Amino acid sequence: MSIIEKTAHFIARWLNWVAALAIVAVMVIVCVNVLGRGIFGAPLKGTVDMVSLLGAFVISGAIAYTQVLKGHIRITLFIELLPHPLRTVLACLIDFVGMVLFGIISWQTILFAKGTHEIGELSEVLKIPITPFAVMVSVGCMALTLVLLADLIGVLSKGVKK
Amino acid sequence: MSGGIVGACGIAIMVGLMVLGMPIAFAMTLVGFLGFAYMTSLDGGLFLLSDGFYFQFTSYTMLVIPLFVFMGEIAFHSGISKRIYRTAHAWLGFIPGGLAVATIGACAGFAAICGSSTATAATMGTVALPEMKKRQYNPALASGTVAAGGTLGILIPPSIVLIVYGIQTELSIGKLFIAGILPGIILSALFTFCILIMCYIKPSLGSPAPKTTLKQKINSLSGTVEMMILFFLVIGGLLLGWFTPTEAAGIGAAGAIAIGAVRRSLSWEGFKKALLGTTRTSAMVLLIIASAMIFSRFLTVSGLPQGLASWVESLDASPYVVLLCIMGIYIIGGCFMDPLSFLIITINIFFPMIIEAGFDPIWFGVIIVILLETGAITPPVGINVYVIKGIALDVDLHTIFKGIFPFLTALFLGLIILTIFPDIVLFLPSLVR
Repeated sequence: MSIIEKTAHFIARWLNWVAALAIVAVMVIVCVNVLGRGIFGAPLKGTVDMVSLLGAFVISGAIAYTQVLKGHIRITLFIELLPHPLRTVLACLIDFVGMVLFGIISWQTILFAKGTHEIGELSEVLKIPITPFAVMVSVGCMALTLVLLADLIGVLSKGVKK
Repeated sequence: MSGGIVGACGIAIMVGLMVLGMPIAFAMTLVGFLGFAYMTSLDGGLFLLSDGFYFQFTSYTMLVIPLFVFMGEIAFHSGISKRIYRTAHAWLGFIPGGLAVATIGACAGFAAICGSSTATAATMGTVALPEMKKRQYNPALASGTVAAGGTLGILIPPSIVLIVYGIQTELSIGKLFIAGILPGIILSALFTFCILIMCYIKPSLGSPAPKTTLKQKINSLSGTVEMMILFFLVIGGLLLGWFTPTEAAGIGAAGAIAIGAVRRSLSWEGFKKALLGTTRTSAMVLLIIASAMIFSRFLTVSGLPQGLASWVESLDASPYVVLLCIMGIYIIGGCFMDPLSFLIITINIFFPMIIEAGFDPIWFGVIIVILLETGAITPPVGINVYVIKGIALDVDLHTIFKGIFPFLTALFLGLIILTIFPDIVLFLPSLVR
């Protein structure tokens, strides 16, 4: 396992635990809100704000590790019919294109985060600055880019050995 | 080049990339971005990426998905499925093919707390397949039953497919959920008839289990209490207007954890596994939804879906011809692709046509679910079949597909019944506000 692969997988695994914690947090917040509203007549203020912003952690935290587990659905039916060398070339190209794509998304989301920081954009009810959450989306996409780079290096080195 | 042609080329390129093995979410995002940039400007395309991803990832409505997935995962890891199966076994096991019938009953029961067909198939497969093997059930019947029964997971509420359909078409998730109940019961009954007929013709397929006493039957009911509590809390609360869908899902997940803790059936390891399963499924589904949003923005600016809808209108064809064509596309598409992904990609194209043809959108949601169920068990990419293959290692794929065939007939019969009598679907939703 190359150093890039180790690093990428390590980061992805930790981000995935952040996502897992965020799911638990979302569940707790939602329940506190429902119980507060139903039993005490006092809903938790800003539930929608908190839950929505935590969504940034839930999804962007988990997309890189899902790639490590090869969990992003793809159709393998047809490529399995192709000869091995062609399959390797295709796998390289797909990893490369995916890497560039998510690199661009990560870069654009950082620009978006910078924009929200400059205008001081806040959440609707609790007035929480949204910049850190936009940064989290960018970090998640960057981690996915890194995992795709590691995949690409893995496929290339296997191809060269053969 | 006209917008419609650009849209059609975009779809062709996207399908091409998918066939070459690019993950579905990546292909949709890439083509959506490039197409939108072509139709507007590069800056427009780049802005769509950041804006689209940020707002989809921080959408309150979308979080209903991880929470419902979490509820199903917790139910799986805390052994609720085993207890539901035990009850069904005690009540139905003694008739010929009874264990298979019990499996369908238990699948329907587990579907009431789990929104995914693969999770239902996997859960009930691990519980029911060893029992049927012990009683020397025909392997094709046993594996086919679990694969088909699993599909009830996305029809009987909660249902991830109906949630995704509801989010994308802006329909009430509560109404869609309740619309799935009667069709779910009808399909369970059709699956049961299938098994009974097969075992009547050839009793050696599934020998009856020993009879249980009335006391044993009544005692076994305790195993379904928690399933009932969760179902009525989550779906009842949603329909009575106590909760929003996201809240219902949160309460359901917390309820499943509480039941696991009280029963002492949910270990720390099980909890961690449930969380990891949830992040994986959620990331996969939500990334596809976010990319579908980017792709659909491109399609909207291209004008293709609207163009197709008015073209269909101008054809002056019977609405049922349109429906039949769309059904055909879903059945064929579902054979080659993960059913949920196929729904997300296609719904923005077909939904306007269906509305234009005068069909009820809630009814169509249920029909789509059954079409996707069909896709989930047909070769070559019947996802449930592969799930069962993963559990029953000694049964080959060919045998499972053979076992599926009678259930496919039941699914088609279900489709015909619901198309002729749409009120079966629409009756319950008409009762709620």
